Amino acid sequence: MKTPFAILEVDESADDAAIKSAYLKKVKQFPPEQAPREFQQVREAFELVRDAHRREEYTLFHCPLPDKDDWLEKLLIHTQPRRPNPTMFADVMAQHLTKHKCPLE
Amino acid sequence: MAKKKSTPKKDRQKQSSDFSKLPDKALAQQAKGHFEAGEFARAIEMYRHLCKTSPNDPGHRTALAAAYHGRILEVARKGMHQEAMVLLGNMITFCGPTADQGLRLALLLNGGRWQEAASLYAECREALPRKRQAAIETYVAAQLLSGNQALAKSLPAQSVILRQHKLVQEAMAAYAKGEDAQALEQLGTLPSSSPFRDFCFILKALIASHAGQKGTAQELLAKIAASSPFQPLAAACRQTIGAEDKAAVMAASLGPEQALLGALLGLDAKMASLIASQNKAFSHPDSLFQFILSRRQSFGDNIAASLCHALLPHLPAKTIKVYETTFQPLQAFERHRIQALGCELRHDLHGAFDAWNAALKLLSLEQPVNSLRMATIYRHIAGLNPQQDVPDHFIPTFIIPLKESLRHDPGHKPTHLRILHVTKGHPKLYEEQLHAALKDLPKDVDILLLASESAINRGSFKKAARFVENIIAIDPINSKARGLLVNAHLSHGRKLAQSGKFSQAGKEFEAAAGFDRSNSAAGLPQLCLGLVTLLSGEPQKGEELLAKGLSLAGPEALGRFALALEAQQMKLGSKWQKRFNDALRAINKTAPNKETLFGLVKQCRQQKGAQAPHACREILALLDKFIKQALALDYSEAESLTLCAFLQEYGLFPLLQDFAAKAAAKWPGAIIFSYHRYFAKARGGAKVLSERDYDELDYLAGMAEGQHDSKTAGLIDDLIEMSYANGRRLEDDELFSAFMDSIIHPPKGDRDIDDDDLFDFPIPKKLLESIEKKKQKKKGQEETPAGQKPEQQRLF
Repeated sequence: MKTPFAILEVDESADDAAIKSAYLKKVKQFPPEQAPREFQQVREAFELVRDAHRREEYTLFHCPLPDKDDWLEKLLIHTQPRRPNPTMFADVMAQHLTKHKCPLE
Repeated sequence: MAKKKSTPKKDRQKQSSDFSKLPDKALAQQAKGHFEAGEFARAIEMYRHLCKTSPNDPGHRTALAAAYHGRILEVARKGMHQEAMVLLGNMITFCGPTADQGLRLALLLNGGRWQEAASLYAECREALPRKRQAAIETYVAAQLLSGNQALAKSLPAQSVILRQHKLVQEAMAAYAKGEDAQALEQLGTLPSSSPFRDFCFILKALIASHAGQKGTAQELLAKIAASSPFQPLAAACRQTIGAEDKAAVMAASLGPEQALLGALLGLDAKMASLIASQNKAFSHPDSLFQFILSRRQSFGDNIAASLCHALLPHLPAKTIKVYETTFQPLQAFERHRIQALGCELRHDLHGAFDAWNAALKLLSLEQPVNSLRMATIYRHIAGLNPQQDVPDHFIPTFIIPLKESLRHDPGHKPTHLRILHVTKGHPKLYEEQLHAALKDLPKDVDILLLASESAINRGSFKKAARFVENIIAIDPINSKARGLLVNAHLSHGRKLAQSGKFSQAGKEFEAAAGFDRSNSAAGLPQLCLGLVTLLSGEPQKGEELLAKGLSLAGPEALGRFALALEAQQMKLGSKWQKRFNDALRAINKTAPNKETLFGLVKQCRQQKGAQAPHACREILALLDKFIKQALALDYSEAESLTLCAFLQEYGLFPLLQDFAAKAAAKWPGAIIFSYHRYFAKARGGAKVLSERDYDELDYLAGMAEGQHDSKTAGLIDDLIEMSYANGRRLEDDELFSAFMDSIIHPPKGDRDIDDDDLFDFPIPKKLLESIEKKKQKKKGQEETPAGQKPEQQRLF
């Protein structure tokens, strides 16, 4: 799960005005009638950090278990596809051919 | 083809000897039947017998070859390639050489007899039907690409397939080096009918994918048939091209496919394995913590530290040390914060309070003090306490952290409101807090409204009016404030009138009339003004004002009721009171209607002040007949509920009994009406009910519980409890329970009770009396003369 700051695409030190402006921008991007799920996510994020009190509460008390998708995303975000070498292709084929046989007819 | 049934060996021998006695024609019929039923082994036996008995009939030999063919396929499909080869040898022996070399070649390939396969392939390639040749060559190509050296070495060096394999290898090498143009050039030299055709599509798709042409890549992969031996490679590539959830792709992969997918997604083998095993690691925070620690290098220190840090509140406190040893020491505040959150998650509230207090102590030493953070933690601490049903004696303690939070963040309105809410039952605390709230938020409408309400309740009407005037200055259309202001002036006026200050009271009523633009007070200011004007010695003006007030009050009965009530509250004296009471009594002769009846309900409920209920009860009693007549009107269930609650509130028990009985008959499922009926019968608990009534009430309480109507059940229980105070005889079992309870929970001392102690406890007097009464009753029943048997006996 992304942090509310990440959802709104603002810095964690952003002030009320910056957060509100980012929220309005996101609402324009995801109007509730066209993208209700995204809008809901943006709305919830905004409610969590809309003012200094809420931001402080979020910083101090928000402690969910790290989300699986979140940490995997952290891991995979900087990865760049590599080119498999011939052995990799060969290994997949060899494993497959133990089951896949030459057609008899 | 029907599934063949296995035949035990003994049976087969028996059957064999049986069919040797059959005539050829009959046996041929049977063999055909077995063949068609898919029982090839049995068909082979019979045809072999027929070939022996009629060697010159070519039909039997052809049929035998077909049966062998069926049996070979059957055995080969089970993976018994060697057995299939033996059957093929037998087929050639008995039926002569077969023209279908493709079957033999496939069997050799599937049986791993590469040399023989390569040799046969070289011999018969040209003779194979085109489709068959393509299928076998694609399989050979797949074997070559899988690195089958034995096959590669057995094939003739100049064979087309080996030449194409070399080109594909060169293309693969070029692709691996990123030399896409060269790879495409190499692939371009291959004919479209090449057995490596499907692999070419895969390689071209990957090249297109790296170039960002994901659509082209998917189109190329779609050209590969589902039966192709290259399909697993195609599937792996398809998954990685445009994969949104890389982790899911990895988690679903196994073995060599994992390495290939990992590479295509940009992961090294170790990382690919790590991600593929993520689900196991997520079974518990502790296992995840260990998992991340053991693969710290794969994650990188920063990511590993941040993930482990997020896990700390979910793990035992000692894990903090492990974290600090592995990564870096935590700041003292952060350590306390994690400890506190951990305690909260483990429902250890004492631990949480201690840890938060330690954190607060550290914060208080900082310069400058982070007031917002301190206030937030204090509010959080207050939130850890139970929020519902806070015991009265705990309120002063409960509000300490909230008050502390206000010390650091004085303008936090929700905290002010929270304290005001919980201290409602503590006038002194409430007033203190209201004062603080007004100081911190002098222009807040909600706080001003609470202040004005509080002032009205205290009888400080002038003060209340000042607060409301402030609200109206901020929010001129605030109707609640306007209503309060009218009430404040009316109440103040009444107070002045009671002490004989009619002139000043008149000014207050005038002010009330001035603010009541929408006549929300239904002519009450004019009526009050009229009354004080009469008393001031201006009868004409006073009567005019009363007439105006009555016209604004709506139905006549409501105006007269208001007038009689105001006269009562202002203590105008018996002369005036008699005049207004008589006028009200005259209403009893008029026909009732719902508007008037519910108008009376509304008027009574709007009255404020300690004396108001008593005054209302007295004046309402004058309308007894009017209300009784209203019983004949038709009411909805909700209206009946309102009326019953109203009559109960003002103690009009005979009327309540009638209204409740009528409603209970109309809605027998609504227990609340029965409750009202019994409440009226018991005169609100002042009168003792019969045992039968209590039994009925017990039954009703049970019914209400059964309907999940705990509110009504609670009301019935309260009524029963009130009856205890009025001498209801306790049931023996209840007395016994009370007795046992007194033994188990003695009022003084907390020593353990032994069984022997039970005999030393005094038996409660009430229990003894009850037992004695029962004994006497029983004795009386036994002594009843034969002609006067008790009810139970008479029934039989």
